[in-house]
Amino acid sequence: MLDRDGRVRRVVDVAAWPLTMGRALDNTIVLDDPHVAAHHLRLAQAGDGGLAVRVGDSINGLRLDRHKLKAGHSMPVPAGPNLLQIGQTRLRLRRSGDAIAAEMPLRAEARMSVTLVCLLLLLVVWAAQHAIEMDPGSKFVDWAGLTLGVPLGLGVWCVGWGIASKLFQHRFEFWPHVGIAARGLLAGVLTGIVLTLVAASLGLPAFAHAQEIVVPIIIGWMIAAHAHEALPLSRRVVYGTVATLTIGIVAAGIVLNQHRNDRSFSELYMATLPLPVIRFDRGTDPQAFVAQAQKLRAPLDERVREARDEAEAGDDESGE
Amino acid sequence: MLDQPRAQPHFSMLNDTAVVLALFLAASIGAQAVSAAPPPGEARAMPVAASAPAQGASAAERPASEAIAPAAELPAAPTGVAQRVYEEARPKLLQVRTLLAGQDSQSSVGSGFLVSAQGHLVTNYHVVSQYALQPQRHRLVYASTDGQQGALQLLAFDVVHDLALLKVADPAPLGERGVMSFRPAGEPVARGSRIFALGNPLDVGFAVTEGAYNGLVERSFVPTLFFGGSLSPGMSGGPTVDDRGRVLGVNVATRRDGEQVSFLVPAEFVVALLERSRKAPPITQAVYPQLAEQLLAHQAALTDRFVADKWRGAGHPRYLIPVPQETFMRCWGQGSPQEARGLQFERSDCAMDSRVFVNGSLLTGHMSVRHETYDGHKLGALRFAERYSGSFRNEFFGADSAALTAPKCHEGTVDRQGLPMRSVMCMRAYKKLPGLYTMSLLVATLDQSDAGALGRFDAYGVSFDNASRLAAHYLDGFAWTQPNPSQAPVRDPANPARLPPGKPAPAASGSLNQAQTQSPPPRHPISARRPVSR
Repeated sequence: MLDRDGRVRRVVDVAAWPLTMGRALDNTIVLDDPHVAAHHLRLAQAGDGGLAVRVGDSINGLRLDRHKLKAGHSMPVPAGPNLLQIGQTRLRLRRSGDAIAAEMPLRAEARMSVTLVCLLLLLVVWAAQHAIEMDPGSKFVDWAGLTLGVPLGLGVWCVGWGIASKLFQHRFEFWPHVGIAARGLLAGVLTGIVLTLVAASLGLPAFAHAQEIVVPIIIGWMIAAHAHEALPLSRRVVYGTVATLTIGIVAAGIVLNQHRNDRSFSELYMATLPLPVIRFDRGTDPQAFVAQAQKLRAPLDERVREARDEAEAGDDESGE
Repeated sequence: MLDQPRAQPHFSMLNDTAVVLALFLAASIGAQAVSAAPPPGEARAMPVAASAPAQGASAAERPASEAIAPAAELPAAPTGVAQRVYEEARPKLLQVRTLLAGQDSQSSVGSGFLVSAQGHLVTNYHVVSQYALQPQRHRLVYASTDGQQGALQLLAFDVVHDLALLKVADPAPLGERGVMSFRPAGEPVARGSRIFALGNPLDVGFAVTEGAYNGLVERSFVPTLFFGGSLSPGMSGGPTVDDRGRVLGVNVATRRDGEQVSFLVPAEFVVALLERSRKAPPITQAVYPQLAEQLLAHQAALTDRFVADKWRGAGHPRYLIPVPQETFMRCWGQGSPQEARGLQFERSDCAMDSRVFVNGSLLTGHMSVRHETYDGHKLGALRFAERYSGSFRNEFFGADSAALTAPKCHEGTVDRQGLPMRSVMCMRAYKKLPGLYTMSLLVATLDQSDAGALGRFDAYGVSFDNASRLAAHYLDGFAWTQPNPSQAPVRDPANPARLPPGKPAPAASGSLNQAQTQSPPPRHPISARRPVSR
């Protein structure tokens, strides 16, 4: 007999068949569940040596693995272990001949040393970015936001996930979430920086635009890892859900940008200018640059045509 | 209230009551936000729109109080002239009203005057622009000084000079009133002569305003007369006459950041329009095709003249930075305080005062050139790169609007004889004016690790080919000051070629000094000096 989290709450050894279940006290196993009939089911040995289940006089019927059975129906029980749902009670049926699933490895514990290194790197990167944004000779208080905000923000984020773990797994996990957050944020921040620098350095805006897809994916991965740590669901379900959401959000952003600004990415042009040391883009001469800009003409004229057609359609409507 | 006009400068058209004026101001400022991509200083001037009705109201009251002063100072004779001039012109003056087609509410009012016995009259294009752009939704009527009313037809217009030629649909009720005569072109007016602007300010009643003739406005691409007198909304389209009652100009605009700085369209363009279009059939369709045609001709002339001018340098020790000749542009300079511990900069901002009014939210047919030079030696390379990129990022190229498409940009690194520059060229198309585009070109030099120059060139209402020409012209304006300084140690921290901190570049200093002597810097020094809109 299983509890709401799928863990075993009570074990009933079966010494002999047949076995009956229901709310009535003359059953082999008495279930105290209002959705269970007085004599809900009977498990007995079938002719071929296997086991068969027969549903008693119940309005709810029962569920055996993926099969749904109604009152009076019966079926042979497939090879176990089987999951039996009667009313709101779930039971697992195990027989001596059943195969045993292989031992599952414990989830690899996030290495604390790696977590600490990631945290440290993250702080260093953020501190460096902050230092660059400040003018020389900045005051001590200018750093308060970073020194207090980052630990606080990270702490609140991880406590939130820790509470989720407590809710679903009955144990408060904090440090594993810190590990996930530190890795995810570091990956996101570094990817952003690298893509920006590569784009500026080579003069290829595509890398800068890629940020708008890659960074959300990294953040999505981080959230999926958090969720997987907290939720006792299968990895595939958690990651699949988060991946779908991430793709949806990124796609929605692109569609919105297309609709509002007639372009796919939020940046109109690549705004990061490279330092001379990292500039590897040789450049074209002015005439060639201006000649290349001719390509803008056709799409603009197309927009003008669309606007004119829309206006004419509007005039027709208002004229009627 | 007194300080406000100075701190928040703008031109304004004179066609309307205070409410319409407010609409126009809000719209013109909106147009700036959308199409002019205002620099931060300009953006600060925007809140004017909210207070515009109040200003309009005060403008209505001001002439009454000011009328006392001239009357006290001047002898009786000029007042007598004004009286005679008004008496002569009175029957030929008309008020031009744009009404909504379905009701009698006026959406815009201006003035006009009769120029032919057949009932031709002249006013400003902007007085009748609502009718010209949406003839199905509006109608035009006149009201004479003696209370006659009747329908008007729009025959032709000159959007660049802001003129319109109208005709009274039925000239009979007006009777024999005579016509206004023009002052012959061969008879120049002496600067300082008394001239008289006529019209119906703020729909209060027909009025005459004395002022001084001050010749042509300097550095204006479109020839415009400078009238040293007050013009108020509603007087647009009215004639300004000499002491013999001959028309020498048409009231068109005023500057609200100054006192008695107003503008007239020279009579020669009125005569030309009348000659050209006297027999034109009435306009019943939206005039966008004609607008596009006139604006295309305007941009062709403007581009030719602009490209013919050589750039003058910005006085930068390392780069030649294109700064336009001040033949029809006006430049303002600004620098960061010398003691600033962060990025130091100097900027120059050149713009044309004359812009072509298309409708309340669209001004076009003008250009602006600006640049900022940055010196980050107090910051170091990384911090400089961050500020420099931030400045490059902090440029607005407009968004999809009723008049213009969203911008489409081409970007790349341009190698100008060894000088590397990141360049972004953005184009927008006018949705209702086919063949016209707005071009913005943003350029940043990339050769130094702790200094650089950022330039931006905007051309509003040009053909695509001229946009390309202007872009190439602007890019060609950038160069090294020396033949081949790329050999020089670029990343040497003690680079002698760097702009000396805090010292104004020679070319910029002229306009900077001028700005400082011209007006006291109130809270927003830049916006106080920069004319915002016409």
